[in-house]
Amino acid sequence: MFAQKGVELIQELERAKDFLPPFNEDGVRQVLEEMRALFEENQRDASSAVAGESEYITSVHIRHCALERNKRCLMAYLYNRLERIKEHRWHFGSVLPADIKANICEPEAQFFIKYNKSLAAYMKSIGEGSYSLDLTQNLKPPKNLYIQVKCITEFGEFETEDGDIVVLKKNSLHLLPRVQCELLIAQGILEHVS
Amino acid sequence: MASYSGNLTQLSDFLGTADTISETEDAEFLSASEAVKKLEESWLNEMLAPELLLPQTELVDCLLEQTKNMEENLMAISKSDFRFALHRMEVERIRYIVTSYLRIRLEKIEKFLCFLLNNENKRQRNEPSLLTEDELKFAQELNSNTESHLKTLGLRHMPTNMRDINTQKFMIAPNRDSYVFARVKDDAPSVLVSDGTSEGEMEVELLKNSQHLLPYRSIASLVQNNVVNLM
Amino acid sequence: MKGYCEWLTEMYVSDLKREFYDVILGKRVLIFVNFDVDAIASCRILQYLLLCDSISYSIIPVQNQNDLISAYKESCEQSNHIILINCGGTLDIVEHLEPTEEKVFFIADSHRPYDVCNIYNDGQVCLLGKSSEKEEIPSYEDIFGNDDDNDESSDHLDGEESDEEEGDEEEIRESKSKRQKLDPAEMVMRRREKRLWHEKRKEILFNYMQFSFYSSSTALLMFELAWKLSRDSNDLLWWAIIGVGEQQLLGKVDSKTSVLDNGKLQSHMIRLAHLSQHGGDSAGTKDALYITHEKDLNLSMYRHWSLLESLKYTPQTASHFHLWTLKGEKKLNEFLAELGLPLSQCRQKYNSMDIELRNDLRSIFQKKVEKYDLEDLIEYSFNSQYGFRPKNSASDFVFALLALLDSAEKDKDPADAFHDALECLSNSKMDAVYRGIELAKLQQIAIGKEVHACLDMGHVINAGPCLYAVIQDGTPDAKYYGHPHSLLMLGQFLLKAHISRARGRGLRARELPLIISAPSAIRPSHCLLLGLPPLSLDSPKNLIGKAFEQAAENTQTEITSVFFDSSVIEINSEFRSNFLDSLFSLLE
Repeated sequence: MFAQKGVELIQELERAKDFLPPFNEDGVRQVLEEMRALFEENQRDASSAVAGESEYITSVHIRHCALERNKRCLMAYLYNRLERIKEHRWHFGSVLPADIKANICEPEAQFFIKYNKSLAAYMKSIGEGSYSLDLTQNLKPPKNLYIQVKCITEFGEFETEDGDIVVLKKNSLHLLPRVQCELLIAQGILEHVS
Repeated sequence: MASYSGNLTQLSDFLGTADTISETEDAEFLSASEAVKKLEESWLNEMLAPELLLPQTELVDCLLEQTKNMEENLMAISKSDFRFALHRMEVERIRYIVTSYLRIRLEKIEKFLCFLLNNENKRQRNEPSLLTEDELKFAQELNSNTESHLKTLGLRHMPTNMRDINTQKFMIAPNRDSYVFARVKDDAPSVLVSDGTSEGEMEVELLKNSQHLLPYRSIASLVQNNVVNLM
Repeated sequence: MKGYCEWLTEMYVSDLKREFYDVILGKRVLIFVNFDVDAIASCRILQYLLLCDSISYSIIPVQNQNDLISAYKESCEQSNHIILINCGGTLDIVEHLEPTEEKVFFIADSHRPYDVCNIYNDGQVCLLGKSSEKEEIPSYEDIFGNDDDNDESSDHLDGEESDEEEGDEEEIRESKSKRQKLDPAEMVMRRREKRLWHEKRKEILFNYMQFSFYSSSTALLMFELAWKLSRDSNDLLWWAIIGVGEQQLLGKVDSKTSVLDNGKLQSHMIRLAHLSQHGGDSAGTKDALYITHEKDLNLSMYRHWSLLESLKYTPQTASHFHLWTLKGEKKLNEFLAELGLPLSQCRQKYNSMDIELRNDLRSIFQKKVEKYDLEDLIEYSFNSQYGFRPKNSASDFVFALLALLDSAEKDKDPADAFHDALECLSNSKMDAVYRGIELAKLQQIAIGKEVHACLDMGHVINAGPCLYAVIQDGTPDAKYYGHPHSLLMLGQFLLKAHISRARGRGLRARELPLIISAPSAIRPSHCLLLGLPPLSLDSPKNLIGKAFEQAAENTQTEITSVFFDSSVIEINSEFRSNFLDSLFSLLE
């Protein structure tokens, strides 16, 4: 059955909705192989069709549809992975955690870096450049200035914007300004305690 | 949603004489509290509208300038004064609205990338652009990055007649027919809305302070002109 | 030279608002909290106050002296204002922590006696609270000053830190005396005087540090601070009640202090009740906290258990009826029959009992307690109720918190246990409390069974100067009492039960202290040793701490965990028998 591999790639993404599975280089290669094979067969049949044998026209047509389908599946796979990578920037910040890094291929890593750069340039340019705003912070309306957090993984020293040093020892409780904690909460080092 | 239109007279009191802040193209002077209110409206509109609206760059710039001034003034007060906490909260709230507003716009830009770039290319000189310069730059960079990525990983290896990205197929256009809740700010001419049958249309009167549930398409221009607010 | 009283009032911070709270406003603070219920309650009240004023803090729980010292070393750069709750009062802060000059310590510790160097410290260490007569603090002159060299040495001392050691002082004086070029006879006289002075000083210090005891609850202190800041509320009062309740449940304070503290709590309770009535805060009735002070049955957690089990595992009733014997059980059944409580009802969980019986329970017991000599079964207690939910007594909370605190095991980080306990004090979240109560029930059952076993097998041995009981490694359920506070509960239960059995000559055992040892739940192959004062004294003053210290020195045993309450220590189980021998010889 044509384009089976392409559909498999899509299914892989569909099944792993919460995380990014490793880049299926093998799958992609197979789809491209299939496309090449189909194309070559089509070339042969097309030339014969032009020469006048009309019974090949349907097979050319079928192969063309298969080619289109393969292309669509492949594009969807690649594009969808890009979407997820972009989402990671908004969740995890500009440094990818190691387990995600292991699952992306080199061009995807490059894309991430370029996306980062674009985003950073945009954020710097807000307010005519005099005020750079980090758009990935402040995800929820602020309820109070300070929040109580518990440190769940040992982190060590952390410097706040005011220059204060906070030692994040495991199981210590802290009251810190909300803006300082948001990134750490997203990374799972701190936990909000009511 | 929490109401952010709290009593902002403290802002102006606190800033003393620095009351007038922004000038729009029509040379309107806005006070601090009015500016924030306007931003709130634009923020809600942007959040609820299915398509990208006109950018409110002056408003954003002036409010950011405002918060910067406020923060500088805050340095003068001791931390334990409770006014410090109040004004700090105000600064945080304004910053949140601005951040959220810009974030929503970026989201829409990323979603409707090809559509917007296409529009931008087709736009006449005298029409206002939906994207600010920086947003446009961001969108163009994103587009080219995506294209080059897809080319490298896939298209390059495909047979020669399939190597283009068919932008028509890629394009996601906003759904202008989705329904939205709207409140009318000032009296407006009535709009024609389809009444469910294939050829009939009904007229909906838009009186001041009335609330309606309408397809976005029928009030799109009114929203852009700030006559109608989404809720 | 300043007078005795002036010195004292300077070191003790009695105006908590001005000299403590106003100082930390706008600054970051570092808080070290001990592992006990009173400390947790104080910590919770303080957290609330600091949150109101947006004072950044970091809280680090510490179990013993080593924890405090290492945690301090790791975290000291964070802030210059350090608050110690129920820890650090009894050890010389400046010597052990070696702080830099700009650090200021505020100590709110209910352990006594405070180290003299902390009391007479010149501003770096501030003790929150008031000094009291019964602490019998030695005067400054007796420890640091010497009337003879008053003029010269005072100049010298003002410039130096007040925690000078003996050696330094001697050198300074010797050099001074050399400079004065006195003739030999006078010099000999002077040296003799100095020697006498030093001996007297040693004796004074020994008498002062001999007995370890507790003063009034730190949570109550924090509540009064909240009151002065007009931030008090029923929630905070309830936490203070729990802190005070722990002291009373574990017998850490004598009855006079108890009565005083209860009186204070009651007056606050009445005041707050009036305020809320007139203030008309009607919005919060669904989840509002109502506190009452009423006569109640003094049975452990009886609202969460069946009446029979509660009677069985409450030390007073168990010892009174000798419930570890069959005869005792029969007596109990007779008692219940006389009260008119059917056994089937008593076996059911309290909530499933007949509602008429439940409502009248106290008065039913009241009728017969005199006859059975069980007057302390009915006592005033503080109870609380969130909105329309079931009532809980302060002691229920104390049991729950104690059980959660002591749930740390080899695999579970003690700090996790600390946070579990702290969670119970959140507003109106009762799940953590109920979990704690379930755990506490298991704990009380384990303790009761162990007491039963000890008595049956005669594990309580009279060693002459004291009683002792050793619980061996590998006893099942030993994890339930392998912590300082649960071991204290076990010790108290055991002592009471043992004495209640004594007849004739055995009654002399009432005057003997009890040393009890159990395997440590956190560190395998180590054991905890705890000393209890004799029952006859009726005062919680405990001299075992000093004895432990001396015995450790004599036998060169390393105390692996120096707790802030010196009557409990942890050592390696191998050295236990040696240690005990040395201890007994000391106590004679």
